[in-house]
Amino acid sequence: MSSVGGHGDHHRERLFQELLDGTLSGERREAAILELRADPHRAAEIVRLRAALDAMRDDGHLAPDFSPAILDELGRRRGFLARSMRRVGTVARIAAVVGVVVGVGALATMRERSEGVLTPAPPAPMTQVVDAAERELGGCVRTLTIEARELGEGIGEVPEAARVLVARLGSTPKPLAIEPEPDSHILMLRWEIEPTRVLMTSGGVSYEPADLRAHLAGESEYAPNATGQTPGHAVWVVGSGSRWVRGARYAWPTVQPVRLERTSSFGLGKDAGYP
Amino acid sequence: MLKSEEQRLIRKAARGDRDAAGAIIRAHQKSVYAYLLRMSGRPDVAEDVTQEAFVRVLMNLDRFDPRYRFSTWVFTIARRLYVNACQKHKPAFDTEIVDGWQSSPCRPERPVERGEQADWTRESLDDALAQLSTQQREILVLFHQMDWPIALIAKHVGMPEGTVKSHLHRGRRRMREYLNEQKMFQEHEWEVWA
Repeated sequence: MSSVGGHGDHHRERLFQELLDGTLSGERREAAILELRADPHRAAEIVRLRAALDAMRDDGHLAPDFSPAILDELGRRRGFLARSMRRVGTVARIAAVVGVVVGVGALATMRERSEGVLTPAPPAPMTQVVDAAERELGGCVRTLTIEARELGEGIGEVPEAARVLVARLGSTPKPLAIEPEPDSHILMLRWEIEPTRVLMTSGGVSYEPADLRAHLAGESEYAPNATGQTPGHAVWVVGSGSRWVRGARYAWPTVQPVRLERTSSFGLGKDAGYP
Repeated sequence: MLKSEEQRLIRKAARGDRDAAGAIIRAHQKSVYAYLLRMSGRPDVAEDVTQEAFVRVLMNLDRFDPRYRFSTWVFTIARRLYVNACQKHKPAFDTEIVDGWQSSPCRPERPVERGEQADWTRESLDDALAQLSTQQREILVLFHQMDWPIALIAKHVGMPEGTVKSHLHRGRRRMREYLNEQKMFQEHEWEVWA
């Protein structure tokens, strides 16, 4: 350490750190170097530290080429090349189902019209729809809990942490908004969950919200209730920053109920919050 | 690599193009490996985590947000896997785990690739870095080895910029003291450091 004590030492320490931070402009940098050089002990320290820090940059050449092994591993996990093909298959299947449903609906409507009979579905009272939506979203949250547990086991392999995660996620969601849209007869319900808080585990490791959202983005499914008077709806999860919302969009048609069998939509990619 | 070229490769790799995936790996593997090697002090750990990180990256390319830096995303995944690996070695997370690895008697010998002098320098540097806390070491590596700006490091490690700077300064001070005590890197003193 420098033999200069007190204020001078503190001042030179600050100069020393600023010099290594690279925050000094040209003239100030020159002045700092001159001043630090005046203290031979300090100058020698800087030289040694600078040499050590420069040596840190020389490790890149040590890396072997991992690409063949990584590509082989990807093939084994069938998550890479097969993934795009699987996705194409999934999209095709969903398109086929939607096509059949729309076709059947159109045929039924045409037949009813041709017979001169219009049989609108009896509009359910708003409270019943809200109750049904709440029940189904309760189911969503339970599904979410299972997904969270699987994630915790898959990524962290720390059962204790996963249990904490599940227990906290399992709490009752708070409804954010119910937004009837008179023109299209759509009811919106949303629940907010705070992953930044709930994902901190007692073990000291946090699963970042992006982990969970990204996991849910591509692999979750929700099968809506297609029986009884439940109107067609879509369920989605969106994430942005620290907010994480899961909700449902309920179409509430008054003429002819159209039930969408598989309309889960998880639009998370853009909001995953990666740095 | 230009960002446009990188984006093109990412799109191709996301569609299953092996050549594009290989190019992405080769473009980033050195820096990721070097970062993990510095963090763990163990080539075997660095190799395992690097490979797993790229497997995860390539399996999830469709989730990458192109508004952000790809390399940062890769590092984020690598860092998370490394933390998980530490966790796996010890049930309760403890920053000392990494220090424990550093001082482990079963730590493998470093490969001799650039002569004894290079090995000696690397080992001396590892010893000096092992004196730091995990946070100090990581921030020092990202700043001085990877040339990341403070703002980016802050985002990566989830700390305010002031805290990052504080860790950086304390880490450098601790490292300097250790180098002084051990008389390391004295052969460089003749160099013109300006």
